[in-house]
Amino acid sequence: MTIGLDAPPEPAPVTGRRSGRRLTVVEAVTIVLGGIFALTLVYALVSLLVEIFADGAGSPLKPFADALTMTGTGKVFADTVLVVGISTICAAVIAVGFAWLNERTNARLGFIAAFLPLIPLLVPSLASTIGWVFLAADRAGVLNVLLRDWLSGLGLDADTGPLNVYSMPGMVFLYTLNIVPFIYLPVSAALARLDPSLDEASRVFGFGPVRTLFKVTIPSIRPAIAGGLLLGIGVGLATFSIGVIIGAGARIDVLAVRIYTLLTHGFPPRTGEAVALCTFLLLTVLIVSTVQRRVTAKGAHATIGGKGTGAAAVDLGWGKWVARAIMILFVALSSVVPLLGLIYISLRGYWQPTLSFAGLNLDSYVTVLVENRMTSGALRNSILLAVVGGLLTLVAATLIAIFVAQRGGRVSKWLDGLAKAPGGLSHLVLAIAILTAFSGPPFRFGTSLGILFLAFLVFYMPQAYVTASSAYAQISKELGEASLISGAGPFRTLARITLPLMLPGLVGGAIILFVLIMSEVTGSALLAGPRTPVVGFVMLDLWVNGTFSTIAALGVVMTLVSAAVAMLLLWVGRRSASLR
Amino acid sequence: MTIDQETQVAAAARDVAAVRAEGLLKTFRRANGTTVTPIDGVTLSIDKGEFLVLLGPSGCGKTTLLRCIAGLETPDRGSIDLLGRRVFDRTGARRVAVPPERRGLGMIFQSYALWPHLTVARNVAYPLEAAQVPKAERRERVARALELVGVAEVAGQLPGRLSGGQQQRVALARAIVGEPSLILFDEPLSNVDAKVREELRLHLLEMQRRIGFTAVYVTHDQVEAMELADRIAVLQSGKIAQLDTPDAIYDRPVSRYVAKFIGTANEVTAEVVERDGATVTVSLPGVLDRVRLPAPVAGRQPVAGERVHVIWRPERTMIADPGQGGDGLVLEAEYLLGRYLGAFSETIASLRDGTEVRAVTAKPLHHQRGAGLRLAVAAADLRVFAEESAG
Repeated sequence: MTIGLDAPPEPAPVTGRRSGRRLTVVEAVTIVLGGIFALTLVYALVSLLVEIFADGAGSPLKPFADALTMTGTGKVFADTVLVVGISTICAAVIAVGFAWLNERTNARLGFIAAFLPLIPLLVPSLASTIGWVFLAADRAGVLNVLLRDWLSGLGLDADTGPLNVYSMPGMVFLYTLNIVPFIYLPVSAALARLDPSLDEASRVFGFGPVRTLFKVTIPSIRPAIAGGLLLGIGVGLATFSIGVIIGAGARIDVLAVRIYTLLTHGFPPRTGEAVALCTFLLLTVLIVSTVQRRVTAKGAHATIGGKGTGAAAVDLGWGKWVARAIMILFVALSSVVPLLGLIYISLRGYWQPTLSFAGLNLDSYVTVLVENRMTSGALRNSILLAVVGGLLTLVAATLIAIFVAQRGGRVSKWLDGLAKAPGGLSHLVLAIAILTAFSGPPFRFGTSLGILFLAFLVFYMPQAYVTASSAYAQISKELGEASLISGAGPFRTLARITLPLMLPGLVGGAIILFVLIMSEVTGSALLAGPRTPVVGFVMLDLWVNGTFSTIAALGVVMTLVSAAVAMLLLWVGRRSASLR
Repeated sequence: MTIDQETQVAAAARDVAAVRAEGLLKTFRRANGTTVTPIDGVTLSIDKGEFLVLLGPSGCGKTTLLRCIAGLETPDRGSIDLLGRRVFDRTGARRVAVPPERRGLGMIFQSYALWPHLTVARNVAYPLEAAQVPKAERRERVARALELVGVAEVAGQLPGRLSGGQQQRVALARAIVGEPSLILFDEPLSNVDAKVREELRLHLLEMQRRIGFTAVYVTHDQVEAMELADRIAVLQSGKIAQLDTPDAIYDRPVSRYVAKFIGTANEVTAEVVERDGATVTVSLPGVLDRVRLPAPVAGRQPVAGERVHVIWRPERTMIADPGQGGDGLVLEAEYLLGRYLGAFSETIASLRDGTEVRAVTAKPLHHQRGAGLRLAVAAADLRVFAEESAG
């Protein structure tokens, strides 16, 4: 039996491709849906490029030169780098620390592990930012009022502070809260799958838990940390809601807000410069992702595999309680505390630098849900878009994912690349592209639900596609083949075997899409209008022109809807896990 | 068996082959650009009711060949007929590729591929459902199939709750419920432990004899192949190295590859001094001095000056008395160690050039390490093969 050992390994069959066969009906539908998506994306991006050329009067570099020589551009870059850089580093330290505490020590808190990644879904950042303004504004912040009362008892009197959300530290604080979940997710997943015997070996050979963490654990999951950092920088650069709410007050200009201002304030909109600034945004993401690939390619990290369960937890002693308190505080600061701020202002009816529970009422909710046409219409439109747009995006993504997995060839390669492509672009860039492509002739969508629908299809295709692909990848190929062998055709196989088995993953995907579309701000700010309001657009509008109690109430309603649907996600996830 | 198969069977001659593959070729392109040829010109005919085992090391193409018969892979060239019905053809102008769901087969997958969201009964009913068998009949046939494989009691359960052996039986029930004339097995026993494997193998053989389906069975386990097969096809990098009954493959291998893959083989490599019709005279300094051996009966004939492999089975090695000789091979060796294995004993000895050979004897030899031994092999038990030119 020695000869066999030198034989080449069985070649990985190039998917279950049955190239001899004609397209089935399902596959034809897939190609049509995929085509609509691909055409929208490509047409929008091409229009954007054409726009840049046209704007530069023949010289594609002119908008770049204009953008760079605009007053304040230097400060925009400096502020952006400072805010995003510091926040991402802070967030990485917190996220890696929390992931380690939850996966490897006896400070682990089951609900934190489950809850942390969900915070951006539960409390949309626009709502939590406004909540923090109510709490920690320099003069009128409710927390500041409380703290000043307490400090004056100690003999320290002041009219302002001590907290000030309208500042660089305030900005970094909010950005950090926002970025942590995005780094925590890949890092904790990698730690959960990392063979614990690597750590145990280090302990056996004489290193303490902390040195083991830095010498073995962290180096082993370097690719996940690098991926998390990239994601963090990407999220930070694209974050628009924090800057638009507190940037002006803090005199900090971030890139995302500057681009938005160029497009919406003043006439005509300065699209060329805005797009030029977007290009810098893209370039940064590109450079960072190249660096990340380098780190991953080095190969000096452990391959993740084996069973992650049964790892002996590091005993932190009394430190366990400190660690737990810090984690609970973090979760409170990023969700419960700002939500309380919103609830207080919404019930109080107005925002004043006092804390009083007298005369609380639900008037602002009546306004939001019934009286104010804009807010009630926005809620209706957002829910409609989230349900219909989310479902259609998911259906298209599912069909494309199955098609790509089953068939090789050029069409699949293109669909795969295109479906993932929008993930690398910020919503701002995509929204501008869709605006230039579809608002004018020949489509004249203007600001309408139609253009928002197309935008959300493009924005969330990567999420939906990745969810659907991984749901499909978890189904062993043999299950589908067994159905074919049993005499069932491709359609029956899809309906009876493939889709039912993908369902738990798809339901999770549908809920995530619902929540993301519900709380979308960036695209909505550019693409919605007064006649077709959506929640993100209306909240920004109210921030400039409205009453605070209405915003607060709308924020609470939006958070409640998101949280309810996200809880459904958790429940569905747990239920389908127990079925297996 | 579907109706159109039945009519075709009636029309065709009675001894039509269950599977007939001709000139199959399949190449894959790997991600790094190199091409692999898992099936390299395979022609094969399997009789009705036969149990054929495709045997070979991993990477020899046995699973790909099975999947081509199933219709799950598309060969680049060649044709496949099932019971005289052409299901695949890439030879001429008229291209045929019947999809797997219309080939009327049963198959057992390596992972069993039981659908986790359907109960055992619904898993087994699935092929009947696809064939639009009426509900009442479906229920009855499912019950009968589960009864037959001995897992009737788990009909209402989900497959995830079953043991490996039970899952295997359910997979078998699903494969036989539609009464296909051909069932394909893709290493179905590689995921269960040794004891259950033994039991399932017997069960499977009994089932096949009782129902009479044709079986094509892929495995890399030669013991399994020997036990199950009417005929074994030994595969070597995409080609059939030998296709014969188990005993013929063991006793009369047609190549060094087959001889060494099946069972244990002793081997001496010597140089041809002279060739004369049915014999070759070989010599190996210190070990063999101009010994006349039967010429190769298979493969290429060696010329003088070339090296040949002389192969024989350990149990055909005799311990000879000093001075005794025969028509075959006589080797002077040194005793290394002996192993007592109950029913028989094994002796490992070393030739003068360091080659180790094994001899199986009924009773243990009690020698000192280093003691001289004379080994003899009858000419009829020797197989001589020319060096394979491909290396």
